[in-house]
Amino acid sequence: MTNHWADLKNADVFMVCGANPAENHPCSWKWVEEARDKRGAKLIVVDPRFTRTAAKADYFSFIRPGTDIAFFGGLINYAMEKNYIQWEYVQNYTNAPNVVDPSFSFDVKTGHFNGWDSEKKAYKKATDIWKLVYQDPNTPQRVALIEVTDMVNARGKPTGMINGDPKTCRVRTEDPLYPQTVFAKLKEHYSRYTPETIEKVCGIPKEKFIDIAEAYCGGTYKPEKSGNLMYAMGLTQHTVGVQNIRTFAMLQLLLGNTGMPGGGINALRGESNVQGSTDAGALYHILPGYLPVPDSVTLNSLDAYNAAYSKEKIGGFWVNRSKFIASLLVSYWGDYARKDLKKAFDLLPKRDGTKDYSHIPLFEDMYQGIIKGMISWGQNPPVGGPNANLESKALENLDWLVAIDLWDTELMNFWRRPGANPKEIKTKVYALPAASSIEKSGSITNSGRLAQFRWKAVEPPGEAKSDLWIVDQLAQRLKKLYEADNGAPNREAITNLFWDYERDEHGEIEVDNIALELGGFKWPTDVKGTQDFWEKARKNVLLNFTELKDDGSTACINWIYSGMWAKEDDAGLKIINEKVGLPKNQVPRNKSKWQFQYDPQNIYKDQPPLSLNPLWAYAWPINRRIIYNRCSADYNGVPWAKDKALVSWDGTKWVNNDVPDFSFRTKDPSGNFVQVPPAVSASGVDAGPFLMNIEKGNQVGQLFGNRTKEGPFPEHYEPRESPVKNLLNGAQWNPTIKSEYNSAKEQPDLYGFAEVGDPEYPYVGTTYRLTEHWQAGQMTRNLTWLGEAMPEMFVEISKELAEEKGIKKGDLVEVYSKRGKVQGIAVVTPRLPRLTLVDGNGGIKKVDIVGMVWHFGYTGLFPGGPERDKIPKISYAANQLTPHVGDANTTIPEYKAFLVNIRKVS
Amino acid sequence: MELTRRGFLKLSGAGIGTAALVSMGFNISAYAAGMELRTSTATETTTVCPYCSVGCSAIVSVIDGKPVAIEGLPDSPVNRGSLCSKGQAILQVSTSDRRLNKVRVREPNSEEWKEISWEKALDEIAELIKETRDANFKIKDDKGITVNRCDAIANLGGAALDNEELHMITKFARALGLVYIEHQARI
Ligand code: SF4
Repeated sequence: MTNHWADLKNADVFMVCGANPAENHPCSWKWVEEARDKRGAKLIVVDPRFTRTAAKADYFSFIRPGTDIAFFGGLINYAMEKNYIQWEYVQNYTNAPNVVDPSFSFDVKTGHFNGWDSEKKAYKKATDIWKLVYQDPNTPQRVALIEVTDMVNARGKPTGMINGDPKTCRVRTEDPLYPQTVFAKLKEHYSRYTPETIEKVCGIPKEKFIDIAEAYCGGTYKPEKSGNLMYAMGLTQHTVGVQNIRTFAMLQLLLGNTGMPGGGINALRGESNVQGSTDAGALYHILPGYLPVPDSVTLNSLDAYNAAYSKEKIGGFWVNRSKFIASLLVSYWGDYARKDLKKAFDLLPKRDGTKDYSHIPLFEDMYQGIIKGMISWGQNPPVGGPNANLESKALENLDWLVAIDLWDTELMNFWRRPGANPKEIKTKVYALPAASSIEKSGSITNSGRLAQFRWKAVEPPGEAKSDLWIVDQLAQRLKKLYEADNGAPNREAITNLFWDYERDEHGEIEVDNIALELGGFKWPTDVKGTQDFWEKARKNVLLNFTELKDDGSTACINWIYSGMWAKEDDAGLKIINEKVGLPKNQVPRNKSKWQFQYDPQNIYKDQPPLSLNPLWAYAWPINRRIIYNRCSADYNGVPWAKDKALVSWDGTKWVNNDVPDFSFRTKDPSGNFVQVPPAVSASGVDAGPFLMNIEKGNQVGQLFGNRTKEGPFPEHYEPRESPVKNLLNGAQWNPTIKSEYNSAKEQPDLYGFAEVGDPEYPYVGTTYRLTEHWQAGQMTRNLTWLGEAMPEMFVEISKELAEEKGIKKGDLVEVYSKRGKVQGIAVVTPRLPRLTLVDGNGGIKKVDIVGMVWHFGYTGLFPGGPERDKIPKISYAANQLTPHVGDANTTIPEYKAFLVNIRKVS
Repeated sequence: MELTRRGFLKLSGAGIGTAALVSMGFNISAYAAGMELRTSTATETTTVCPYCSVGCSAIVSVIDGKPVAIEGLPDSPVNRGSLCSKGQAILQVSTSDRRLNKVRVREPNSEEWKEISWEKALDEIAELIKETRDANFKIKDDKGITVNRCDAIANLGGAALDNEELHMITKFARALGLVYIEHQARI
C-alpha cells in the first residue's frame, strides 16, 4: 500500500477491483464505512462476482476476468475526454509534459509497440526503444501543457503554477511540441478505449461504465479530493498483472490521487507477513530491501553492481544503492566483508542472468529433475500452486523434502495423495513441527508497511519449535560441517557467515538482535565476545538509512527498515516520555513494539484527524505513513486538502505531519541542516516527489515508462486462455509472456492449454477466497470453528448456465479444464453473470463465469469433500485446473482467468 | 515484571484506554469492567493476527500456560478492537490437538511416517543439504564468471513467518548459494 489501513477513512471515492475486502480483509472494512459515514465517500466495485463488498457498493458492475486494462484504459480515455485532469499535479509531478522520442509507435494491427523483433519474438532492450527526449544528459525536455505562470523554477526546468482555475484550464495544443508529449501520446493511445468498446470487451454495459467513470474520475480529479484504489489478487494474478496495476497507477496520476491521504494504490495483501517476507528478499530476484540479486550477466561484481546505479547513469534516490548493499554484506559476513567488500560480494550466489527461477519455472525444473532437495517454510503448493497436478508430480522427483509447518499439510503428504502409489515415490520427507504466532516473539509487516511486534504468550505444543530456532540449528550445524571440510566449494560463505547472536535461556536467538540488524548500526570494533558486541551495537545505532556507508563501517540487513531501532535521542522516545510519562528506559527501542498514539484519550471518539498514528509500531521507510506525500501539496507547498495536510511550507520551513517523502532539508557546507524550498522539492530533480524513479533529472510519476516488458502504455491483451479473439489489437495474448513451458510442450494433453474460443472449454473459470478460510487451508481447515462454517468445496454458476446444464443447487458437479478436474457442490446464484461480449472474430458471444474457492485439498479435518480427517479419493484443490503461465514481468500465475467446462456428477 | 508485555502497556497509564482508566479509578463502562474481570487472573500479552495482512492486534489471555481467550486490542489504530472469524480462531490454532507436536520422517518408498528426534532429524537434514549442495555447486559458469551457486536446492515459503526469522532464513539460504528462493508473494 502507498497508504495504510486507517487512512482509508480519508478517501472520497473507492474503486475496489479484484479484491473483496468485506470478506477477505474484514477488519479493514470499518475504515471504508467510516469514510462513507463521515465524508460521504462513494464506493465503486467492479468484479466478476457480486461479492459482499459489492453488496455495499454505490456503483457495481460485473466484468469479465482478465479485461481490467480495457476497463482502466477506458477510464483514462474518459478522464482525458472530459478534461477530468488534476492539471497542476500532472504538469509538475508526472512525465506527461515530457517529449517522447519520435521512434515511439504502436501498431494496432500487430498489437506491438516499436522495437519488436519479429524473429526473436521479443522487444529489444526497453531503455533503447522507449525513450524520452533529453536536452542534455541530465535534463529531459518538458513543455508547458497548460498555461502556467512561473515557468522556470530554480533548476531551470519549465514547470509551474496554473494560471487560473484548473477546471477551465486549456491544453496548449498549439505548442509545436505538443503532439510529441507523453500526454498527447497517452491520449492517442487510449482513444480506442471508448465506452462502446469497453462494453464489447469487458461486458460492462455502456451506461454503467459512464456512471462509474463519472463517479470516479469526475469525483476525484479535483485537487482536494482523494480516489482510492483497493486491489488484490484479482488484478495481479494475470498474464498482464503488472500492467493492470500500472494502468490504474497512471489514472491515479492523471487524477492527482497518489500521495494524498485517502488516495494511492493499495494492494490488500493476503498473508499476515507477505509484505515482510518480500521485504526480506525471500524471492529469487531480490535481496532484502529490493536490492537486485546479483547475476552472471550484468551484476556480477560489486563494481558492476555499483556502476549500474552510479550518479552518472541514474537519477533519484537509488544512487545510494552502494551503501545499502555494502551494509547488507557487512551484516552477512561481518569482519570478512569489512576487510574486503568485493570479496564478500563474490560469496553471494549469482543467478544465471538469462534464466527465470520463479515459482512456475522452479516447479518446471523440479519436474525435469534439476532440483533435488527442497525446504518449505509453511507453503503448500499442492493446494496453492498453479497446475497443482503437475506440481505434485514434480515433487516426486525430489530426493528429499523438508516441510516445516503447524499441520499435516498436503505438501508433506504428497507421497500419499489421491491416486499416488507411495511405494513408487523415492522422496525422503521430513515433517518438522513449528510454533504458531502466539508461541514465539517477533514482528510482522502488514499491508500498510507497518511492522508490529507480537509477544510470545505460551509455549508451543510438544516438540514444536519456532522457525527461527530451526534455521538457527541448521545454520550452526552447517557451519560445523563446513569448518571441518577444507575442500568444499565456496565454504567461506558459510564458515565466515556472521551468526553470533545472543541467545535466551532456551537457546533461542534474541530477536532484538535481528531487529537491531534491521535498524542498522556502526560495526563495533574491539569487542570481547557476543554480549559485548551487541551492547556496543546498541550504542551505535543509526538514525536511518541516510547514515549508511559504502565503506564497510555500517551493518544493516535491510535498508528500508533502517530507523526501526530508536536512537537514544529519538523524537518518538521523547514524545512517549513527555505525553505518557513513561520513564525513558522503559520505552522499548525496537519501534515495532511501540503501541502508543498521539492522543490516547481520544481513541474511542475520533482519532487524530488523519490517523497517521506515528507512534504505533514502525512503518517503513523511516516511519513514513503515506508514500509520495510531497504530492499532497501544490507546487508552493500548500496542501491541496486543507483538512488533510501531510506536509506544508509555512514560508520558511516545512511543517510535517508525516515523514516527508522528498528532500525537505539538506546540509549546507558547514554541515547544518537547511530547508529545501518548495520550488526545488517539487522540481522533479533528485529531490522531487517520486524519489525512487531512476530516470535522470525526472523524479516524477511515470505516465510513460520503460520499466515493464510490455511497453510504455499498458495495452489490453486477452488471458492466455480466452473465450474470444482480442478485439482491441492483433495480438491475442501478452506478446512478452512465456506462453508455454516444457510441461505443456511435452505433454499438452496433461498440462497444456485450451484453444481460443475452445468449444470443449467454453466457460471462464476463476478462483477466490472466503472469510472462514485462509489461503491453502492448513490454518483453517484444521479448526472446527472455521471448518464447520464452511466445510466443503463449492462451485458457483449463473442460473442461465445451471439451466442449460440441468444443474440444480446442491448437486455435485465436476469442473474440468485441459489440466485437471475438481468436484464441488453447485451453488446456483445471480452472484455470477452471463456476460454479453463481442468476439474479435465478429459476432455476439454470451460467456459464463464459473467461480471456485481454492482453499481445499486432501488433508486436514476438512479436506474439501464429505470426508473428515482422512485422505479422500480425490483432491478438492481448484488449482488442479489452473495453468502454468504467468505475467511477463513477475510470472505471477494466471489463476484468475482460464477456460473450463462443467458437468453434473450423477 | 516483564515490561515489554501487556503489563507494560497498563503501566503506561494514558497509553492505554480502558485498562488505564480502571487502574486510575475512573468511572468505566460495564463493557470495560467485564473485560477487566474476565481476564483478571490471566496474564495478558498482545499479539498480531497471523491470517490476513490487515494486521489486527489482539490480547491473548493465558492462565496456567494455556491461552483461554483472544480478543481484539481496542487500542490498536488498525482494528480498534475488532477481529474477524479467523482472528478469533487464533485460540484454536494454539490449543488444537491436531497440531504437529512430533518430528517425523517418511523414508523413500515407505507408506508411513516414523517419529524421529530433533537431533537426528537436524543432523540428517544438514548432511543432506551439504551433500546436495556440494555435488551440484557451480563456482564459475561457462564464461568464467564466478557464480557460486547451487541450482539443486529450493527454499520455499515464509509469508506466515516473522521478519526476524525471514531475514535469517534468506541470509542462511544465500550463504548456501541457493538461487531457487521463492515464496507465497510470487503466486
Ligand atoms: S482478524 Fe481478520 S481482518 Fe484482522 S488480520 Fe486477522 S484475518 Fe485479517
